[in-house]
Amino acid sequence: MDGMIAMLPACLQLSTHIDFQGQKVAERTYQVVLTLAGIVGFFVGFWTQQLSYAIFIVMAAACFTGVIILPPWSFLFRKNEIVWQTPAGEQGSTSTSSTTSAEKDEKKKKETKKTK
Amino acid sequence: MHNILNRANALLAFTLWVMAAVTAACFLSTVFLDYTVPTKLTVKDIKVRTIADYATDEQQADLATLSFNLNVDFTKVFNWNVKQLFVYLVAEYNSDNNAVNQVVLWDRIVERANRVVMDEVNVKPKYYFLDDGSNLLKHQNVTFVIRYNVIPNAGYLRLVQSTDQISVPFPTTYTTSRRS
Repeated sequence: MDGMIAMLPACLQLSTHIDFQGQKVAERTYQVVLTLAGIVGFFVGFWTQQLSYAIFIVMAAACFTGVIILPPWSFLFRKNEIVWQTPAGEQGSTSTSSTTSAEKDEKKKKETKKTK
Repeated sequence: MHNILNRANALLAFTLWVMAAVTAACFLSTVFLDYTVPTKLTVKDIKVRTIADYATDEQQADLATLSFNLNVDFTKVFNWNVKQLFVYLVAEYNSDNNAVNQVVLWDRIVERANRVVMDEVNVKPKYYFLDDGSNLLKHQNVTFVIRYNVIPNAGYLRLVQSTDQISVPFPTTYTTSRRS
């Protein structure tokens, strides 16, 4: 899917990521809203004796929740920005990073020998 | 949940889960209700004639024609889990060949509405009342009963028999008229 998105024109390649706290809030939002819609829909359907009313209420609640959680609203889901570490391989840190990676390879070899 | 497709997938899956739960609750709320209704059924103008039936050994079979009146109020059967009813009229009798014969004479699909009353007068059967022998003549009691399938929105296909049935004796002579 990411490959297909990369083929889109640049104006459509919008970032939709949200931070971890935002993901937690988004999941809790849709769980609560849809469960409430299911309960309300059941009682509305039972009162009017129309199953279609119950299903329509759940579908409407799903659309409403989609408007809330699908777009990456910055005031809801981007309040705790993720702090990424600086990538290895930048200028000034190549020598140290290569030695550390070589040390890590040696450590892995020693560990595998021990387990055998 | 880090991109929009992931969130959309999670939302859709949970929505379908909730819809399934609501439908299951709808089924549970209607499964123990009583779906029987009384029916007013009368059968008249019964005529029995014998016709050539080349598929059997006897080469002759009894064919009965009749006309019936039916009055049923189905309104209380319909609830939010009932889509339609499939109502049919059955003639049951025993004979020397078979312990039980059941012949469906007429059926009708009844769809949901606010008030559903079936009032049929002088109806001719849809399907032939053909015996596999000559057992209809002089029969003491042929039982006519209305049964219906309750077709739900969610759940199993329920078969209900109405509380009333009538038994009629059949004519003792073959009819000579050509008109049924």
